[in-house]
Amino acid sequence: MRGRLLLIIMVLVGLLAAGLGIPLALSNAQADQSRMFTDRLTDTVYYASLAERALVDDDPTGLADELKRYDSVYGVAVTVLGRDGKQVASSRDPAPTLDADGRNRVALALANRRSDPYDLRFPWDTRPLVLAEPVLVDSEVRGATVTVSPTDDLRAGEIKVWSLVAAAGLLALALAVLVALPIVRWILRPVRRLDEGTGRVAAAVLAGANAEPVADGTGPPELRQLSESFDRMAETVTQAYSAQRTFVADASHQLRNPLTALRLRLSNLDGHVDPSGTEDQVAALEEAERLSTLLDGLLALARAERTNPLVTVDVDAGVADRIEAWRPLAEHTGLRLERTGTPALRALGPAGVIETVLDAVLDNAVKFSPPGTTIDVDTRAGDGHVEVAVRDHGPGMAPDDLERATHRFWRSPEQSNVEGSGLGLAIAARTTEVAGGELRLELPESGGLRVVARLRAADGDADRDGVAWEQTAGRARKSVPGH
Amino acid sequence: MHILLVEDDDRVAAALRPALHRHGMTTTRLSVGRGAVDHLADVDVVLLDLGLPDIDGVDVCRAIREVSEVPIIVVSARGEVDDRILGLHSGADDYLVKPYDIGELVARVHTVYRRSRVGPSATADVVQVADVSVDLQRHTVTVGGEPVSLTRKEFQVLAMLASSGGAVCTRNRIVAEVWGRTWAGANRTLDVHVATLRTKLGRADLVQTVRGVGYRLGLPGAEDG
Repeated sequence: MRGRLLLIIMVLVGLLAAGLGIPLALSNAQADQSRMFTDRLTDTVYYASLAERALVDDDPTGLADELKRYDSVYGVAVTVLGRDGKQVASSRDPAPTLDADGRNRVALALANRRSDPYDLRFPWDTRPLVLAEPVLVDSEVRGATVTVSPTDDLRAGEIKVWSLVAAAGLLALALAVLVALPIVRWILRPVRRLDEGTGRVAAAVLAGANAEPVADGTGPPELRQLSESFDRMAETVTQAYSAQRTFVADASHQLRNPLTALRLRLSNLDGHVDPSGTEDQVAALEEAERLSTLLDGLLALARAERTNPLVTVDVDAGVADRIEAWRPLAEHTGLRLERTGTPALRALGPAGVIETVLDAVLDNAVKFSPPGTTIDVDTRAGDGHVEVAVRDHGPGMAPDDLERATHRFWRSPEQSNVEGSGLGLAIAARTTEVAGGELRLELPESGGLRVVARLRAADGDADRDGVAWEQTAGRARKSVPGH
Repeated sequence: MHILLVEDDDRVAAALRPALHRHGMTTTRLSVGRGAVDHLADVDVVLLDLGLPDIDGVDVCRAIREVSEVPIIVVSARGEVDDRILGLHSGADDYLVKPYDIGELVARVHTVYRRSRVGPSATADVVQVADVSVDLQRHTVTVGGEPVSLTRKEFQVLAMLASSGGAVCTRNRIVAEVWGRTWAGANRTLDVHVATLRTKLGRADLVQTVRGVGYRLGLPGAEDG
């Protein structure tokens, strides 16, 4: 926008400079040229009258001397022709040859007619100025005088004037830029602040803090108004988002008391229930337990959506810890848990991000993989990011479900009765997103499912990859206020 | 055993008191935190809810600790690690997250009560159950005199059950103490460890499952918990 505003101003000033400068340059050239034309015409007429005598007497010797003197002083070739167009006398030997236009002028002169003044000659037109005047004796054409003037001086003068005009035009443009720049800046300052403010608002909304206002009372009134409206909108969005987030946490906390009472009441029935009802009592206790697991999941999700300070996390430690924790269960169900890829990576994320993501993803992998298959935990770096991928050889999922699988409470239609809260992948996805990364689900060609958590690499690894991502990193740091 | 129950939710208190009474305990209930320090006479264990309407439960905990060594179990709806640490730092002996199982609560009450009476190092170094001997100091287990090789976690689970002396250890508690944190596969992982323990020890009834609650060591003549 800044470039365009400048361009518009430059075009306007440029048009103005051209509108004034071009007619000025042209009229100046025209004036110079007609002055020269008149001057040469006078000379040509003078030599035409001088040639009368020579033609009448048929003695061109004196005339030729006269012409040579004139030529040596002014550099203008003068030739006198007879009625038949043959050369009678000339200041030069041989006389300069004429082009078509020149010959035409001579023919007109011999027919006792005047030739027109020249149209405007541009500086790059090197043709000489040719004038032809009839030599009249008693109103009868007896020959013609032709002057051939080089236009070098005229053209040099023209170029000089035109250059001056062009220089003045450029100077005007430069001045226009100097004047326009502060104006453009003033107009665009609120726009720039709005742009910066958008980033801040997004970060603040995630962090649940109030965004720093954008409006600073400068700039054009309309844009000032816009900035103020933006601030009001940002405040509303922040409040709404924060209210929604605290609602989940609050509701989960509030549900715990009734749930505690419910469990206690159910336990109190121990020994007072008819043997035929014992099964129902135990099942009811299990339902209460399920509700409690769901509450834990909701709270974990609320936690995941809160922006925690980003720290450098040791990928290896997290991966090793979780593989260790899941290995007994995996081996019990006949699964192999393997670790591949690049070791010693460091990523940026909230503390425990690797563990949270792996727990959610490995949970599904262990649940759904058939015995005898391998679950592969792979880590690699590239493009300023660290990727932690879990690949299983389970049933995978329908391609349409890949997108939905990270939504809250999503369950695969085939697995809707398998134990779990349906929040695992959602928690993993939110945790990586809040850290500025993403969780991606892929269906490898050889079957199974591959879940990739992509996190930003910590400084050291980015340097090693030779990837310039300083800017993203700086933004990330800025977007996480110390909270 | 006399319990001081500091709990603002009437319905939770109403459900909890008969349950505690059934386990042979007597209770006094306070619905606010202010004045809790004045009711400590003859109290054996304090059950303290952190979410009180008048003052923060953590402050109540500190206030009690200033005047008394009575065991405190903090009961809270907030289960995040930071909350647990804060609770334990303010002088609580244990921390339980709502909703809890009555069996677990009672087991913990007994544990902190016993610890407060006999001191922390009272647990025997070697626990002997029939022909199974668990040496808690040297981390060794023998069955009929033959050493059995256990992994570290397997031993920790067995040691925890052994030192509880036949009382139920809830799944949550075993996971929290042995693994340090809970995760989605924790309960199933615990089950796997117990299954391996039973196989390795060759005593299927030594580690008993209490359905829906947890595990306990099948001591000969131990009471049902």
